[in-house]
Amino acid sequence: MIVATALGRPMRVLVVEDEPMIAFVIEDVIDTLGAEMLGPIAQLEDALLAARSEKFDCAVLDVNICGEKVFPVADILLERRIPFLLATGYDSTSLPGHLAGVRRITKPYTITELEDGLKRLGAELR
Amino acid sequence: MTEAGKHAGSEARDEAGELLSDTGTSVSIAIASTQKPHFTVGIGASAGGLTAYRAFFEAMPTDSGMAFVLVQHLDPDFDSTLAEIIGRSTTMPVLQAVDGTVAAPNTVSVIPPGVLLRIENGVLRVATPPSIAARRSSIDVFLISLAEDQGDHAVGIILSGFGSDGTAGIGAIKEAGGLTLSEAEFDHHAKLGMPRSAVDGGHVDDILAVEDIPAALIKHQQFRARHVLEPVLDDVPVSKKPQHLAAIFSALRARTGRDVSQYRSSTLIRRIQRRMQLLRIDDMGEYAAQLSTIKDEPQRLFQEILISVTRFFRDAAIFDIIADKILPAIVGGNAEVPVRVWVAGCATGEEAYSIAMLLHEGCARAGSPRRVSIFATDVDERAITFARAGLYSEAIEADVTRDRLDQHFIKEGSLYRVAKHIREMCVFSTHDLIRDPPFSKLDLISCRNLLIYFEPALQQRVVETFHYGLNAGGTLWLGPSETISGNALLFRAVDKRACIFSRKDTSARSRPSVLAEPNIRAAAVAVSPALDKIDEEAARVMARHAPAYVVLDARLEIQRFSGSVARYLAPTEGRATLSVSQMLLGPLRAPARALVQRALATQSRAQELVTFEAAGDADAVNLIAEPISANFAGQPFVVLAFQETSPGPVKPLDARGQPDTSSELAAAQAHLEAVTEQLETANEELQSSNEEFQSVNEELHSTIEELETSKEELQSINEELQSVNTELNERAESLIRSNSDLANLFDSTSIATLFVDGQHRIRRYTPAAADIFSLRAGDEGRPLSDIATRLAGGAPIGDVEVVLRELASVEREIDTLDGAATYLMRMRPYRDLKDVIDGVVITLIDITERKRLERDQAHLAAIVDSSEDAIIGHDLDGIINSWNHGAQKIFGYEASEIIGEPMTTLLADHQLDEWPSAMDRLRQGMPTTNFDISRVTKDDRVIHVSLTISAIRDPAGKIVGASAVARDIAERKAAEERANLLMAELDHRVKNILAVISSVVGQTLRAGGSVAEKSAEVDGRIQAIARAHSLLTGPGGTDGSLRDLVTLELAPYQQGTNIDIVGEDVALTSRASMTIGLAIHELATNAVKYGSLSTDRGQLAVAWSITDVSGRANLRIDWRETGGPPVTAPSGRGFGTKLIELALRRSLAAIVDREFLETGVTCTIVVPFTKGIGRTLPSTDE
Repeated sequence: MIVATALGRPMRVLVVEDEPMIAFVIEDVIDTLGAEMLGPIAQLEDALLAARSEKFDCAVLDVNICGEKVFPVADILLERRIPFLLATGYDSTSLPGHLAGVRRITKPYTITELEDGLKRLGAELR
Repeated sequence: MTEAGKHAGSEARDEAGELLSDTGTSVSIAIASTQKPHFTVGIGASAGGLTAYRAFFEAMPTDSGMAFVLVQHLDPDFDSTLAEIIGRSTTMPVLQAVDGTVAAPNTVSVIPPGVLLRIENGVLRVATPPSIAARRSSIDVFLISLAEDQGDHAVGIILSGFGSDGTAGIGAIKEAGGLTLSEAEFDHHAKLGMPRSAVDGGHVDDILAVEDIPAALIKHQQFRARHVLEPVLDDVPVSKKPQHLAAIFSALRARTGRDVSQYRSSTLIRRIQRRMQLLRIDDMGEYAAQLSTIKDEPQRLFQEILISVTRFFRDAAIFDIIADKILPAIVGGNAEVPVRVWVAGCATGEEAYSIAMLLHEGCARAGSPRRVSIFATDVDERAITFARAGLYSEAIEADVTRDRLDQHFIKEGSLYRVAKHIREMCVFSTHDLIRDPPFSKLDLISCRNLLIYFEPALQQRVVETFHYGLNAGGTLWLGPSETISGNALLFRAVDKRACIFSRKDTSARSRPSVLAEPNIRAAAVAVSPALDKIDEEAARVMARHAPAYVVLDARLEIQRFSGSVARYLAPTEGRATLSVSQMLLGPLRAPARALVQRALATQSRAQELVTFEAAGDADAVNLIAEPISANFAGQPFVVLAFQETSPGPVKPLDARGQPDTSSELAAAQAHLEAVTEQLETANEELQSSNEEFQSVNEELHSTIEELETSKEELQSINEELQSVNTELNERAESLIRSNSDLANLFDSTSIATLFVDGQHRIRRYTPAAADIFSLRAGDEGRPLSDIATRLAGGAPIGDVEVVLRELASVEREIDTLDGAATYLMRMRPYRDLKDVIDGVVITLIDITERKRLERDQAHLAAIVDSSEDAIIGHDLDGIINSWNHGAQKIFGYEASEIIGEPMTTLLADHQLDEWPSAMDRLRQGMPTTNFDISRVTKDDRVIHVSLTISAIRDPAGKIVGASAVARDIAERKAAEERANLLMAELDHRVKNILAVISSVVGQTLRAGGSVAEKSAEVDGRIQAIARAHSLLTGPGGTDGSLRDLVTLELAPYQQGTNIDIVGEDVALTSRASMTIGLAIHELATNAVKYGSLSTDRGQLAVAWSITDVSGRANLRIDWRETGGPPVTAPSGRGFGTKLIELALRRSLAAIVDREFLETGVTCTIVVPFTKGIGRTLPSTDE
């Protein structure tokens, strides 16, 4: 897959998703793209730690994890200039203003949508 | 007689002369056009005038071309219907005058009530009188203005009426040359005050019955149409005056004894012309011819010539001299004796009042207490009447200083009345200086401009009379051109220029017997013109042959000598006398006296031959005494003639032939002398009687004066009483009206009112009170305590007593016995007009309805106040005017701090702009209903309210304000927000579930296998998700029960006791519940497919517990299959394995240990039991 690599090695994707069923799908897509999954992480605390310290090229963040909002993780990624996808069942109005322009995929999303999103992230990395 | 006439005549000359010189014209008669001259006729009347007016207008032609103006004394407070009433008597238009009414020909204007009417340039002017007194002279005011405005085209008529209004006006018209008429006394039973006063004023041309006045007016008009008065040269020398004038003078002198030939001819012609007008005689010659034949005409002509006009303080400089030089001595005299002054020829009184003022001021200055009596006399009775009234026009302002006007006069309308203190000093009486006895013991005599009209002899006698009347050193004050020539012995000049003289105390005070003299002269004058020149000459010749004679009066004093009487006279020694008994020769005295007395007694001739010795010769004379047939001034006169006889035996001697008569003669002489003495004594007695009579006469004058004054006072009292009567009538009418008003008020008022007197007796009540107190007609006068009222507690006697005792009002509510009605009872003291308490007034006002309304209102108010909603009232300006308890609760403001504030207080700043449009909506009547809006509370909190604003309308439907009802919707709002939150959450979850299902389906399909197999797998997994989910949505909220989860999952496979489930119930979160649920489902599915549940003997035990591992709680779930077919580990990692191992590990950080043992599959799942996973449930008995 063309997009699965970044800087000559498989692209590493942080997945923050508390729902294992969905995480399986994401995992499948990442596998399909030839990328590498970091996660999935179901707890915000763990996600924050990973976002700060782990090495990865991009991320897929579920907005709502274990009843908490994933926005602090997004802030860190923005700061680290790591591109990411926000996956959410809420509409855009429930996002904080500074995240309004972030790439999103709306739950329930199809595999194709997720693939497209990840491809775009990969394209941005190049 | 003549004094006033001449006195006034001189004034007439002065005044008229000035009057004429103003225009520089005199008048004569000439023929003019036949056009009707326009006359304006002013008619004045008072009481009784109506009848006279009607009679006048019924006789008056309606096309005369004259304008009529009626001035009637009218009650100012009543509308006059005079115009209407007179309108029935004439076809001329009769209108009530208004300001600006033109006095047009053939119209009648009537004065409106309560005003003064004047005429200016033929236009009537209406003015408000400055005082009530001024109204009484409304006729004078109008006639004077008429005289000024219309001159000799003015006509003044005085009809019936009390008082003297109009007299001055008539005088003014006469002065201006107009015609003046008065109603005759016998006419219409008229009230004669005004007509008589006018006539007495001396200025009425004709006195007629009312019916005859119109004819006289028409004749006057016709005469004036034929003649106009044209100017002629004045001051024509007497010799050149029309010949007719001489004839007129002559006739006047013959008939009245008055000589007017020295009067100014212009004045005379004017006056004569006026008489000619009245008599409708066109030619002066004809008038002169008729003068003697028309009855009373000479007197009327003379009256016409007399215009009794004089002035106050005439020759003011001389008055000053009198005040400085004469008065101090008089005032400083004996205080016991009154000052006595005689003003002879006082005319209309100005001179007397002037002297009175002078004396009053002199006495005041010197502090003298002397009383002053001024005898003011005139022969003209009308002038005296005028003087007595003491009422003068404003013209006197020219002669009297402002100080004196203020001090000595009282202003009555436009007139001045002499003040009482001056009036009382003066005694006015008619008195003929020549005929009547003089006043005596006088300090001052003023007789100015009178003597010049007397012959020098008469002047001398008058001066002698004054000498007699004055006290020693008394002052005589004459006119400027008068002297005391010929009486230098009696008076000496004090100030010759001022003509002030002082009495010399020369001869004895014997009153000169002047009385008969002028009468005789007058008689002679009266005859003389009749004498023919021939007769005169013949008489003169015959006088030489006629016997000598003397004329004697009744006292035997010689009045005339004629012929050579000297032979018979021999004046005796001693006091000079004219007594015949002293003057005749001795022998003649007795016979003469006897003859004269006999002649007087018998009124016939008596004669006697008397011998006497003269110059030694015996002589005889025939003494003839014959009374003069006519009496003069009541005095008999006798002519004693001495008819000479030839000497001879006129008297027969006795037989002895010698005159032996000497002794007889001596005896007779002695007798005669005794008689003479007796007579002289009698004479003296007569003289003293005379003096007594004089003083009686004076007393009489004073008495008459007092009576006149009393009469005037009575008249004025009468007038006052009339006005009082009118006022009382008005008051009575007003009382009747008030009473009627009160009666109507009583009958119509619905307020029960009861008047109770001081003894609690019912005095009066209204119909409403009758009902409440059960009163019947006739209950007036019964005590209130006797009345069985409908009121609870009976008649309020106690209250009445309280009010009467404390004089304060009582007010309380009182119910009826049946409780059906409530009254507000007010009880007040009854104060009569003198502010004395005389009972109480009880009023009862029915307040039943009001009470009910009050209750209703209180109820409504309670509802409003208890409402949890804010109910706020405000007006159209948005100002809050009511505020309930709910409003206080919601907004935090107390009613006291917010009422009066604007509604905008409750708005946030950004809402202020919306307010005006909201108010506009309100004004247009558009309601605002259940409108959710935010408002700001007292503590600046923003709250949400549902607002309903409805307009408040007044009874007429006009919007006057609004009520705003605000309901706090904070809770509702919170619920809504919660719901919104839930909806969003639900949406999220549904989408999440769908994503999960999508993933399950996708993952299942990826594993490969038959469609039916996959379909069953998908179906089973979705059902597992649904079961896990249904637990969450069931009772218990978001948490699901682990036991329920396991039980539900395994229920389809349970057969008897093949499945054993053990564990305390644990609540799982939704996430844990779904993951664990799916894992159980996969385990169960595998068990059914391959494990213990695939056979009948197989057993499954599911047990869980919370274990504590080094302080951290774990949920341990043990899955143990036994008795089933032998199992083997699955070949690959299928989705099922993912769900059991990966999902639990990833999602719940669980440790999953699955073993495929010979005996069956075991699976141990250990999950850190955090909050995100679940919690223990309190143990139950189940």
